[in-house]
Amino acid sequence: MHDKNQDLIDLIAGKFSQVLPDSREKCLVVILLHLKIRDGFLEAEFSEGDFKRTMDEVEAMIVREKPVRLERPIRELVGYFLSYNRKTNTYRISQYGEDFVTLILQKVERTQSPTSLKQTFRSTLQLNDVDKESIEALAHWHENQFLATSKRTIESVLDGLEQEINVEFDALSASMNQQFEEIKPVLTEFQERFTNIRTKSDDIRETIEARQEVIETLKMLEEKFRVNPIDWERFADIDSSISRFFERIDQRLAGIYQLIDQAVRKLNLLYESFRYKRAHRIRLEQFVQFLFAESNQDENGKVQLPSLVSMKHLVSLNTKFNVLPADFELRKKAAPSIWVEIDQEELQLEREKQIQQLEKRQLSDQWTSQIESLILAATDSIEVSKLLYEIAQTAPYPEIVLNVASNILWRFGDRNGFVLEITPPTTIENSPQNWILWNMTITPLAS
Amino acid sequence: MEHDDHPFGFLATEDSRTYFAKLDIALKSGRHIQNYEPDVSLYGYLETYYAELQNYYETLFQLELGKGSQDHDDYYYLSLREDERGKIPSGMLQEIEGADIILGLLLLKYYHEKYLEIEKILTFDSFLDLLFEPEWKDDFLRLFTKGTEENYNSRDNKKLQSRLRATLGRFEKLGWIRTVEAEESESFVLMPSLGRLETMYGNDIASYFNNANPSKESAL
Repeated sequence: MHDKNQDLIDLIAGKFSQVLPDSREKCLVVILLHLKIRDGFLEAEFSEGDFKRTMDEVEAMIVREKPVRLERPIRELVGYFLSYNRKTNTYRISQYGEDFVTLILQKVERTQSPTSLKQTFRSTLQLNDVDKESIEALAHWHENQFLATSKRTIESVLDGLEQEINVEFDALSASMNQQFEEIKPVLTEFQERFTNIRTKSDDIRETIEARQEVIETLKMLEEKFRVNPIDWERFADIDSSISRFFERIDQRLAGIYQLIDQAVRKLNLLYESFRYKRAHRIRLEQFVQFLFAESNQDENGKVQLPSLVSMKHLVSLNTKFNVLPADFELRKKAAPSIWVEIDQEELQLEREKQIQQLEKRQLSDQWTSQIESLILAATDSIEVSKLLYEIAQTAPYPEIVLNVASNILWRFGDRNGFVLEITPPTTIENSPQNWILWNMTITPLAS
Repeated sequence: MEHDDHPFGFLATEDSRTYFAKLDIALKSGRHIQNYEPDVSLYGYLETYYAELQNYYETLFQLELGKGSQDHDDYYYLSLREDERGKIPSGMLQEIEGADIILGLLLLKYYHEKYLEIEKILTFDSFLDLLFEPEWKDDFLRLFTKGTEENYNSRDNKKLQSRLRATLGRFEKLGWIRTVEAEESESFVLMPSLGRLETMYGNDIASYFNNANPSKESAL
């Protein structure tokens, strides 16, 4: 689809480029030629001299300095807008040129004179007896009179009104930027212009009221076409197309009225405060200019305003929830809590385990200390393994014996003045925990 | 409107249950509440309980619930007196950046120019056009770009555009502009509350004309 459109645009822009007039002046010349022929000031077949004179007139009418003309601009119009007759060396407006002029004139005249809308309504929208005779006749009326004429005319007039309002708004905005000796005449003129648009809108509304007759006629025809399901389906389509169209037109008209009311209200306010507002805006503009000119950029790229301008603050408390309220929608999206439910029983066991560890450590240290004292005080060999067996008889935890044995080994393994011997047991002592200790003897060297 | 003879009795009303929390968060985050979407309901609530809410913020937070107006459009906001700034925790304050002040006042100037238009719509491109107006184009580039890279002079510069968008984002949070759906271009509506900037800097503007350059004042 896109490629197809692309091809078409390429074709128009290339081979058919002269279908589009490339200047306003050329369009206006064709229009003026048409008007002069219509009013009898020019023959339908005219000479190149007539064309040149018409072009001069257009330039004079639009008060423009003469542009640098291309050589014989008439050549560019020949083909689509003008036809050339070699035999008589004359030109005439082509059918394409006539259609083009008609389109433009209709657009302008409808906007300028909504009374044409009334005429169109009277002549085309109303249903006559022939139109009501059969569904074919009604469909013909819908196709050729309603869609092709009435609908297009109404749309076109409304387009024109909307455009007119926009033009007035632009003109008014531009006027606000100018200096006036007296603002009252300017505003009064704009008020009149908007009032004129309102009058045109009233005319349109009044004209469109004539639709009621059409709607009522269609209602009366309902019974007639209901009999045949095929007719009824076509009738329903026509009926709904007309209803939808008028609904949309009502909305557009309402929009136009709203814009006009707004404009008139603002004009009244503006009249009261124009000088103040304009002075106010100019002050602001000068102040902005001052800020631009006198501010500087610091090393971090921040804009530093001139010292005359004081620092201001806005209230800005960014509320943060530590815990989202239960009924807050976002809570559902919150990440799972990092807190793990704690099993109190398990916690108690853990505590007891830690106490046991402490107890074992304490008892191990006590026994180690006692054995160490015995060894240090001894003059003969000490059979440490016997002492360890004794500890094993009373110690509440078997690891204590191992801890003490390990401590003694570590303390006396290579201690100066002592010899530590470890040998396999020749006799097996009774051990409450069913384990066997190797014989460990420590002998002070002094002995 | 009084409720149960308690100064904050209004908080127990159904309206407060529905709107107070949202309004409180919005106001405290610096938002200006106006009779435009998406704040129309909050605006209605504020209008109804304005006196009570004023008392609430004054008593409990030493903040003023202000009301401004621009072309007959009212807006509400929380403010503090600059001389009492020391009493407010710094976490509750946001210093307005110099760049934001310039851009905000420029938008306000445009707002006044578009006085007759019902919706003051501006596209991002038109915003750039405003900034590149010959009166301040050079100063704008000097202040908003580092001016060392060649492409900084281009209005298409990504860093520059992203900086401007960040400012517009802050303005949107404050309620000074409102982004509108537009198919082809980024557009936003200038809101009446932009006038708050003028309220804040009114004295500075006056002193610029009166003291710094009295000739300009008389020229108007």
